[in-house]
Parts: sequence; C-alpha cells; structure tokens
Amino acid sequence: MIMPLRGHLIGKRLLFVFLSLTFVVFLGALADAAQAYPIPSHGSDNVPVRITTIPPFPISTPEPILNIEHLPRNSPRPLPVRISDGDCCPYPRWSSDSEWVMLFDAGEKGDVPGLYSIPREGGAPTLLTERIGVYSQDWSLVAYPEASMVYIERWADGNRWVVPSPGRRIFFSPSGDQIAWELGSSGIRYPDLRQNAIWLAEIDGGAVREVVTVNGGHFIGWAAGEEAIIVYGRLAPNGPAGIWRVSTEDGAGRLLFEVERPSSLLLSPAGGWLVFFVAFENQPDRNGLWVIGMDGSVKQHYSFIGAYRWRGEGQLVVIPQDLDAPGAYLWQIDIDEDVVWELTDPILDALPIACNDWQPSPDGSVIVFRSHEDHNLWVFPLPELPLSP
Amino acid sequence: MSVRDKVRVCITLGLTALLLATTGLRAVSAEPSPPQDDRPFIMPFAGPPGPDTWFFLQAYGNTTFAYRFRNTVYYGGQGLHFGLDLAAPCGTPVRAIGDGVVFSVDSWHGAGPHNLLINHSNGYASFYGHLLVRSRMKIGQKVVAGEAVALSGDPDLTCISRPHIHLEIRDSETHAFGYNPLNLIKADWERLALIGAEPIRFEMDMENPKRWTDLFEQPETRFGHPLVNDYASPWPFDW
Repeated sequence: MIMPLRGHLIGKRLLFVFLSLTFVVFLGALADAAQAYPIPSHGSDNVPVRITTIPPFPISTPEPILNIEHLPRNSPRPLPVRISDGDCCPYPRWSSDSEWVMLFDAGEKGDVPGLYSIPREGGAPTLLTERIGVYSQDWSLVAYPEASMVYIERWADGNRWVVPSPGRRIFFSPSGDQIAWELGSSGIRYPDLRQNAIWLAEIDGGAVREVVTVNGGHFIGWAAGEEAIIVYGRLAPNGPAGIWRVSTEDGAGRLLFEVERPSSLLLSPAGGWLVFFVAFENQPDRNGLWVIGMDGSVKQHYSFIGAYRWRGEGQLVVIPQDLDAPGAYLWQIDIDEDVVWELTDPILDALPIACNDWQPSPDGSVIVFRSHEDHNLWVFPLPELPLSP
Repeated sequence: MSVRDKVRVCITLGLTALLLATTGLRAVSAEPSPPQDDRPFIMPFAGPPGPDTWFFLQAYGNTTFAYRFRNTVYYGGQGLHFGLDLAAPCGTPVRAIGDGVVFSVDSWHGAGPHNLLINHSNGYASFYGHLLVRSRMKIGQKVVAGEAVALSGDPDLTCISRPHIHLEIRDSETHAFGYNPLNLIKADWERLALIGAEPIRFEMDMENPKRWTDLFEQPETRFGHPLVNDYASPWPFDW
C-alpha cells in the first residue's frame, strides 16, 4: 500500500520537476530569441565559421548566404587611441606614408588657417602650409582658384602655373601626371538629364582635350595604368546608362556595368576596382552594394548597404547599416577571394564615428575617425588578417 | 500537500525564478542601455533603412550642397539646408512625426510638387515636402504620431532622378524659424549617416573651421534673413 503511494508521489514530483525544467528551457529560448542581435559564436582558431544568415538587414528579397570569416579567438583586441585634444577636427586624411593625419584647420584660436598635420601616435597639430586646396595623392601638388583661374602649385619649390580648366575644380590622377575637370550645366533639378563634358590635360596644362560627354553622370577617376578613365551615366542621350571605361586616347567607351542610378562611387587606390550602391531599382535583387573590376571581369553583389572605404587594392572595409546591432562594426571584403571578414565586434569594439568621417591609412594598418563622443580624432588599428582560408 | 511538498514547490519556483532572471539578464546584456532621450518626435518612415526602403540623404544645416546653392535655392533659408532629406522610393507612406493638427496642404512653403504642414502642441510644426500627390488630409484635421499622412515623391516629378522627402521642423506659431530635426526626432542619426564613401560634408569657414561641421550643432534658420555662411574663406572652394 505504501510503495505504490510513494511511487505515485515520486512520479508526480518527477513530472513537476520535468515540467518546470521544460518551462525554464522554453523561456530561456524565448529570451534568446528576443536578444537584439544574435552574436555568432567564434569558431576555434583558424577554422572558418559559416553563418547562413546575417543580422537582420531590411530587405524584401531573400538574403544571400554570406560566408563570414572570423578572426582567430586569440587575436589581440585593438583599442582606439585619441590623437587630438580639444574639439578637433573634421575631415582628416592621411599622408602618403601613413605617418601623419592631415587636415585643414586653424590650430588653436587665433592661429593661421592652413594644412596641419598630427602624428598618427598623437600630438599637437603642426602647420605645414597656409595653402588650402585640392592636393595630389602624394601631397606634392595643390590646385586652387584665384581670380577666376585655377593654379597648380608644386609644394617643394613654390612654382605654380595656370591650368586651362575655366575656373572649374580639377582632379589629379593617382600618379599626378594628369588632371581632369568637368564642364557642364549646373543646377539642382534633373541631374539624370544634365550633360557633363570630361576634359583631360597633362599636369603642366598641355595636351588639353575633351574626352567624352556623359549624360546624367560624372567623372569618377582613372583606371589602373591611367590609359582609361571611369565615368558613369549615358554616353549617348538615349543609350544605356552605366559604368563606362573610356580610353584617354580616343574617347572610345566600353560599358562595364549597366545601372541607372549608382550612388557614392569610389575607385580603389590603384584604380582596379569600383564600389557603389544601388537603391530603389525596379528589380529589387539588384539593390545593395556592388564591387566591380575595372576590366569588367568581376561583379560582386551584396544585399546590404552601409559606409565603405578601401583599405587596399581589392580590400574593402565596410560598416553595414545594421541598426539592430548594438554598435557599428567593421567588415572587410576581400574581393578576389570573395570572403567577408568580421574585423570588429559590434559590442566590444563599437566605434563612435561622427558624420561618417573615417579614413583608412594608405598602408591599411589603421583608420582615423572623428568621434561623436568627444569630437576628437582617434586612430583605430585594423586587425591583421590571417592567411586567406 | 504536505509542508515538505510546499517547501519543495517553493524551492522549485525560486530556482525557476532565479534561472529566468539569469536568462533574462543574459538577453538584456547584449544591448546597451537606451540613452535618455527626450526628443519629442518619431521618424517619418516606418521600418528600418535599406536599399529597398529609405536612407539618410542630406543633413540639416550648413551642408556643402546648400552652400553651393546659397544664392539661389537656399537663399531664403540663410544658405542653410533648412530641413532633412531622406531618400525613399516614390509612394512610400510618410508618417506624422507627432500628434498634431493639419495646418496647410500644398501651401506656398515650397518643396513641391506637394507639401503638408502639421502644427504640434509642443510649439513645433512639421513640414513634409516633395510629396507624390496632394495629401488626403484636410486643414484642421487631427493626426496622431505614426499615422500615414502622405506619400513620398520626387521634386523632379520623375520618381527616378531624386526620389526623397524633405522634412522640416519649424515653430508652430509663425513658421518662420527652422530647427535641426536631428535634435528633435528620436533616431540613431550617427549610424544612419554611416552610408556611402564620403563623410557628411559641411562647408568650412577657414576663419573658424570647426563651426557647424557636426550633425547636431547647426544654427537655427530664420527664414528671410541674410545668409549666415557667405564665407570669405570657404572650404570646399566655390569653384
């Protein structure tokens, strides 16, 4: 009589405990599901982790499967370093040797406006020159308007000369051997219908020629080797719109990629790649980030958008626009390998970047950014990647 | 139920509560605590940004774009971009950013082809420009925050060249003062600004180069008053 009763009680107790534990596990799972950002667990060292979905990007089309590679767990966690003091300074760039951060500033109150430099390790800004202008990639030449003309000045000896751009802003080629400018109708309305003539000249102002006219587009830059320029728009008013490679010799254009409205186009440092984003297309599966080779061979598409800069040739650093994540995080896309690396953690390494104002150094080792927390400049070491898997 | 059973039940429930609390904390710890935010308005678009939905296009204030057109389009607004531009496909529902009363539909305030002005009880008014069609709202009609009040359009009427809305926040009494919407609408603006290859560009006065180069620290607009950024030493240049 007693044993069955005890057995009955034990059974009830076991059932109660089982139900309680099941309830706890169920609620735990619910709580995990409610977590704002699913933190992927890191794999063991050097073992790539395959994540079949990426954190919730607001797209209506099916998300493509993205291979995200994580850095080894024992990688040292980089820390940003503040390099300026006091409310300072918008739009930093890098010296070509990656040792100095360059910016237009007026130093402390009452100082002279001009081009200042700050060591990448931090320190007081030093006035390099009072000349404000568009500088060549190696900072040896500067262009500026004066009395309705545009001058180029060589910093080393102060020599300067007039270039035949009729007062228009000029672009230096990466080598500093050529310049370009646009002549076109200005105004706000109907940018997709406006015409822009692209002109080229040698750096000394010689060999001036109009190379091509684009409809509803602009000059982007020089392709690798500087024997072609890259433009977007239509070469014929009713022709196809897209990214074009145009010969600097004869103006012959080759359509690399057909697209109506590419936004925020950026050539890689040596001109081998172009990144841009597309939005609101009739074919939604074309929306998102694109990277294309300037020989027309490679076209990589990612369904998200965000901020991006080149870390090196074929190495793109991206901050996906993912507001569900607790902080901004960096990815690196290696175009050749078609690999996405997670460079920073959205919780541990969230960077307080102000105004999308950040720039990788030419050697690819760090970025400089303006902080929205203290309005200062900070340098953040970009993690080095292991050998590609 | 015996006393022992009751004790066991209490212990089990206690453990359950403890486990639940722990699990809940683990879930919450992934998110930073929300900042204290007393900004009174909400975003005019529902849902998150993205290449199919909407994205941040132009900030309020002393932008390089407004500076370039300071003597024409933005002359009446002191050379400032006196609103906020958000890109969106034509036909995207535009929500009222707060409770209020419709003050005007398709008024003379510009930002065509269609616009809408709503007065709010907190002393502000919200103005929605570049709307696709005339809003169905009537003057004097009450609206609530989040209510769809219009459809986004394109100032060039093509829905191809520049589809976006222009959102202003003005004072509700005179509509003669414009304020920075980023300081009044709850959103993570710095992260919304993380888009594309270029920083958000503000015109620099090289005699005071740090002034008005931040998303939030921008001057109020006094419509019809003189330019505030007709700099003698600007960067970028006035090519």
